[in-house]
Parts: sequence; C-alpha cells; structure tokens
Amino acid sequence: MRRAVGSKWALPGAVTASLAAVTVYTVVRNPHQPGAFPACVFLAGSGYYCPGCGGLRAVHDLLHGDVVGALHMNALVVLGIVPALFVGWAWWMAALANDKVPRPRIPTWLAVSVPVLLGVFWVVRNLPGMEFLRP
Amino acid sequence: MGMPVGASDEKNSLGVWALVLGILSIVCCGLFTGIPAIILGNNSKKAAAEGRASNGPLGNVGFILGIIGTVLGTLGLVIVLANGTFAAIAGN
Repeated sequence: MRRAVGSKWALPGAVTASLAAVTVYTVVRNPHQPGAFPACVFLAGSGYYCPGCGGLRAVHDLLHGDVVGALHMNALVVLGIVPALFVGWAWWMAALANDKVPRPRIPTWLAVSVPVLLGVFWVVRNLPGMEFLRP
Repeated sequence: MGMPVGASDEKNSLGVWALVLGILSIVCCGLFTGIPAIILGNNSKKAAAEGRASNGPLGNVGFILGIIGTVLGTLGLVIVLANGTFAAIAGN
C-alpha cells in the first residue's frame, strides 16, 4: 500500500514542488529588475507584447499585495491564468487525496477557448489605445 | 469524431498534458514544451481511437498548439539571434 501511494504522488509532487519553487523565486527575486529572468523572445524580436508579457511581474506584485499593480502588468494572468491554475492544481490534489473527488475534467469547449482567448489578448493588448493591457 | 462508445478515461492525462504543454509552447517555451506537446497529443489521439481515452479533442488541440508553438518559437529565436539581440535576452 505504501508503494502504491508513493508512486501516484511522484508526478504531482514534482509538479507542485516546481511550481512552488518558481513562485517563491518570483516573489523573492524581483522581475521588475532586469537580469533575474529571461526576457520575452517575441517582444525582443518584434517589439510587440506576447500574452505572457508582464505575467511574472504580475505574480510578484500579486503576492506582495499590490493587486492593482498586478492588473496593470497582465490582467489576463491575474484574472484568468492564476485562478485557473490554482483551481486546477487544488482539484488535482483533492482528487488524488480523496477517492470520492472526481478527477479534474477539461471539457473540449474550454480546451479550445483558452488558446483562442490567449490569441485575442495577444492581438488586442498591442492595439493603440490598449496601453492598460501592457506592462 | 470516430470515438468508440464508452471510451475509458485511462489515458486522459495524455490529452490534458498535451493541451497544457501546447499552450505553454506558444506563450513562452517554444519547442521545449512544443515537441512534448506534439508527441503527447499524438499519443492522446491514438489512445482515444483505441477507446483508452475520452478526451481525444484535447490531445488534438495540444498537438496543433505544439506545432504552432514549436514553429513560432524557433522562428522567433532565429530572428532574435540574427538581429544580434541575444545579449538583450541574457542581460534583460
């Protein structure tokens, strides 16, 4: 029984530990200052913002209590990606810990609309007049 | 869609991971998550065809996103390197 429990937690444990490590690093080492994190290839190559630009700074600000600042960095990450990732992770952990909890299901409509939303955000945030969507 | 009736969800994790890695390949990681997305997405589609997964469309989306992410990511890297802005990435 112990071996069965160990093996089912191996991947989730590794994913959780990696996410936690990256999050702690982002909180501690400020992405607003250059040098700590790799820069965006799309931004460097085209001068336009990709949907993730400002995401790390947003997470940093969010975890330092600056919700407004975080929204200015990347509203999609703050309002969509972070909550979705958190809910997905928590649901995954709950389903592993308790057999009565059904495993997370991603319906097809969600699997298609998330990339579409990212694509729309990618274009819209670079349009004139949309400065509030850019870091 | 050709999915067998009563398909199990035994291999559904393939579809989910293909989707996540596919999205990541476009947003940040290019071929590093794109190539796994393509592989997992393909495996997910095969599993769905065999009735061992019920989320074949997810694997398909991940497969496509993985291809887009790999192509865009590689193209972007080539452009940036050619422009000599690699120093900008390292220092910025």
